[in-house]
Formats: sequence, C-alpha cells, structure tokens
Amino acid sequence: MREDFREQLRTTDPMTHDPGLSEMEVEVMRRAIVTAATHTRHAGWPAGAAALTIALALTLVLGAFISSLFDPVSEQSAPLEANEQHQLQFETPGGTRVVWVLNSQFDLPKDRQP
Amino acid sequence: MRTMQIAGILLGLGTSAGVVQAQTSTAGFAARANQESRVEQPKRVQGFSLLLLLGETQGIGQPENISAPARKALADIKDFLPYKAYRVLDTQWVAGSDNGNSSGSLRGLDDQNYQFQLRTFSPNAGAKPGTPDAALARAQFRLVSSRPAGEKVDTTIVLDNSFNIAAGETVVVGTSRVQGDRALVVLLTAVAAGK
Repeated sequence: MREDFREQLRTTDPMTHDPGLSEMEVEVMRRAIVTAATHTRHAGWPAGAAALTIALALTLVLGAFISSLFDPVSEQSAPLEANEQHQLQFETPGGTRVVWVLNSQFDLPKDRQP
Repeated sequence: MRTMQIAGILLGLGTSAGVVQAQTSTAGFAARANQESRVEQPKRVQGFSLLLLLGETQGIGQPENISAPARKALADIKDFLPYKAYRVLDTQWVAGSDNGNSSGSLRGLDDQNYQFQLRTFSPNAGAKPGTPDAALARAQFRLVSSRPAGEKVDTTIVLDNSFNIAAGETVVVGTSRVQGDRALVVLLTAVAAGK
C-alpha cells in the first residue's frame, strides 16, 4: 500500500519531466538578483537621517522617563517604603535647573486661606 | 500622551538650539576675535533671592509681582511639573558671596516656620576674587520646618540638596509626594553684583 502510494506520487509528479531553466534563463535571473542586491546596498540612509532617527528615539526615551516620574503609581509597582525619598535633577530646555525630591512622608499643613 | 508632549518639547528645543547655534556660529565669528583678546570677568554674587511657593495641581494662575528670573523659571518648569498654579508664600533676600554661608527663615502655609541654610562653593576657595576659580559653582540648600508640639518643637528636614549654580542663575528646588496635588517650591536666584 505504501509502495503504491509512493509510486503514484512519482508518476503523477508534474515536475518529473520538466526540463528546468535554460542556461540563458539562469544567467538572466542571477544578474537580476545581483543588480537588485547592489542597488539595495547603495540605497542606505544618509548619515544625517540616521542621526536624526537616533536623536528622535533618545528624545522619546527621555520624555517617557521624565513623564513616568510624575505618573500615578501603577497597581503592580511596589509602593514607596516609609520615609523613602527620590531625588531628581534635570535642566529644562530653557536652561532652568530643577532639583526635585519625591518624598513619601511629605506633608503640608491645611490651607486656611480662602 | 504626556510622554509625546514632553518628547515634542525636547525635540523642538533641540532643533531650535541647533538653529541658534548655526546662526551664532556665523554671525559671532567676527566678534569672537574681539572676545578672545579680552578675558571675560566672571560675575560675582551679591546675594541670594529666595521665593517660597506653593504649587497646586488645581486652578490656574501665576504669581504676580515676582522678579523676571523667577517668572522665567516658572515658565520653564510649566511643562515639566504637574502643577498648574503657584502661590507665593514668602520671599527673602540674604546677602551672600561666591563662597560662604547664609541663613534665614521663611514662612509657609498656616504660618509654619522654615529655617534655611545656604552654603555656596567656588572651585577654589583660595582663588583670587574675580577669577573663574573664585566664582560661584555649587550650592547646598537645606530647609527645615519646625512646629511646636507641646513643650517641644518638632523639626523636619524638608529639603537638603546640593546642585550646581552660577551667578545670575535661578534654580528650582522643590518637593512633593509622588501623587501629591501640592508641592513646596523654592526658587533660589544667585543675584550677581552690579545688577
């Protein structure tokens, strides 16, 4: 039964009698592939575009970092331990230096002003 | 969303900084020869202006009757801190120098009393006055709150930070809880002599 099935596959295979590509066709295909590969290699990004992409990525990372410091604490993250402080120093684009302390114990008296 | 806003601000500023640099590199080329011939004298510190502020996430409003450097500092931090309104609690002027100690007190919310100590440092304490090595470069600021508790007085260190600072510069020093809707902010301006 298995031999019959194998034999049947051999006899019905449409590629059995296919002559394949001629030498000319093989050469044309090879040249097309080589030409396409060469063009791809020369079509890389210029250095300026690459630098801009890197700068953009760094900007996004920096923005995400600063933003995350003031985002509400997610439920998965561990709460600040008692008396824990985090200090952050950064400079705004305008040149103002900022020193900020996130303090879990920080407390202000109630505001009695109207 | 806030991440994108901050990233946009940083990117825009980097781009504009590049434009300014390009402009100054050409326009300032001729003037540079004159600048090189004379040594720039570093600014000397005359004193320090302290502005104690309450930052709040609710409401909108910037304090009036504050100095131009303080106003610029508040405008600069607007996009980086979540506080929309700032209220002046107290102001203080202390005489100081590039290298020395100053102290005083500030009054906060509900007449809470704060004592501050400010130590300033130059790169070389023994340098000749007026030279770059004698100019203000770093400061240590300490703010302590005190409130009566029966017969005793409870003291709490609110701020104790070291940072770089130069004459004429305003540094924002503040503290808050992580999710706090109020913050205590000190704007410290090193006022240069001759201003």
